[in-house]
Amino acid sequence: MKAKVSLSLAEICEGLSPATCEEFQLLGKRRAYPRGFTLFRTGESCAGIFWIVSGRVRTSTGGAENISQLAQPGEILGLKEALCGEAYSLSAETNGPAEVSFVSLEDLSVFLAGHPDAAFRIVQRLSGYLGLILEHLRSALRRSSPSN
Amino acid sequence: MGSGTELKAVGRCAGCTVKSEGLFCDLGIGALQELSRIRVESSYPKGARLFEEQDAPGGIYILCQGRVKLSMTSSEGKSVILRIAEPGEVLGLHAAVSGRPYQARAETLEPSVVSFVRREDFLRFLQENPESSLRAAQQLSRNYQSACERVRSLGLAHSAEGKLAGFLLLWATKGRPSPQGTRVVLALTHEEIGQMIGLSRETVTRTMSDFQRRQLVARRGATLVIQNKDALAQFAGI
Repeated sequence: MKAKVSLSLAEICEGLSPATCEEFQLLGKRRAYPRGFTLFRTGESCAGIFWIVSGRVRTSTGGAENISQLAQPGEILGLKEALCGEAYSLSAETNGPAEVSFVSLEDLSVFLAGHPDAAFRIVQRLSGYLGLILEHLRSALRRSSPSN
Repeated sequence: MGSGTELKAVGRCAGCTVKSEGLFCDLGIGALQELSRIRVESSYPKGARLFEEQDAPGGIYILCQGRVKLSMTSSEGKSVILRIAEPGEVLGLHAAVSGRPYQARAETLEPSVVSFVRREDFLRFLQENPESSLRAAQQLSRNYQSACERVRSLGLAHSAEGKLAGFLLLWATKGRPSPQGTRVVLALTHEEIGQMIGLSRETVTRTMSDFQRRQLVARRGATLVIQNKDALAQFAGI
């Protein structure tokens, strides 16, 4: 199972001042993409995060257990990789005409360094995701068949 | 911070004598001084419980030396090891940030030095030091990935060979190449490996012996040599 940690803009902005949220939104370079445009591929080094302004983006894990999902407007892709300095763990391709805002790693780092509240908000949201998967793990443990 | 069974006093974080690439080890000097001020260092023997599942979140534990097993038990008494924490890792991070009970039990696997930071001090530290928030976010992401792997290993109808092969390949990513194959330290009992991948101790022993007989792996004490990654990958379906 590959982790899809895609926080939304609303989740990050919740609890932040409107000015900070607006500043974050203005960081990115917006661009319109046609259907089928590949934003990034699994294994490519992470250049930054992608915030979907409009349209949808199909993400896929690749490999034998390929899991495909549609990311919605507001979702931010590549955040886990940007924070961890890892290669993208998913591929992302526009599922139709889409407008996407790209924030480079450098711009993201500068923004978060200057906004401790935003950085802390991301920690809280990631913690929430971890809590969910731990509950899922507890359920899976309950359901798992007796050990072979 | 570093590993090893000979324990050293860590002292202040800023002048740490056993520093490693831990989560908070290479923060800026100001943040390290603040961290030194709010943490309390203790030594623990092997088998000590740092916290239990469902304990109220008192704070975080920074593992300075040693190794700690994080495990979860179902209401039916079935256990799964979430991960083995290495020096530099922070334990209890999710509980401290969310304010919810600890989701796992933390138990030392060897004599260990651990620094405790009270939850309220830690939250203030994060909010005042964005760099530390980013480090915390990195670890939460990795913990999330690790939990996903555990769900996967429990949820998929893998064969015992597939589960063990997948585990060994994952573990091999920490190893070093050698003429015989990838060498990695695997200081876990077969029972502990079984708890990580949902197999009984007997099945791990039997399957490991089978892998050794086929010369896919070789084990000498705590050192494991992965001799045939391709064959293991086939078992694991990778």
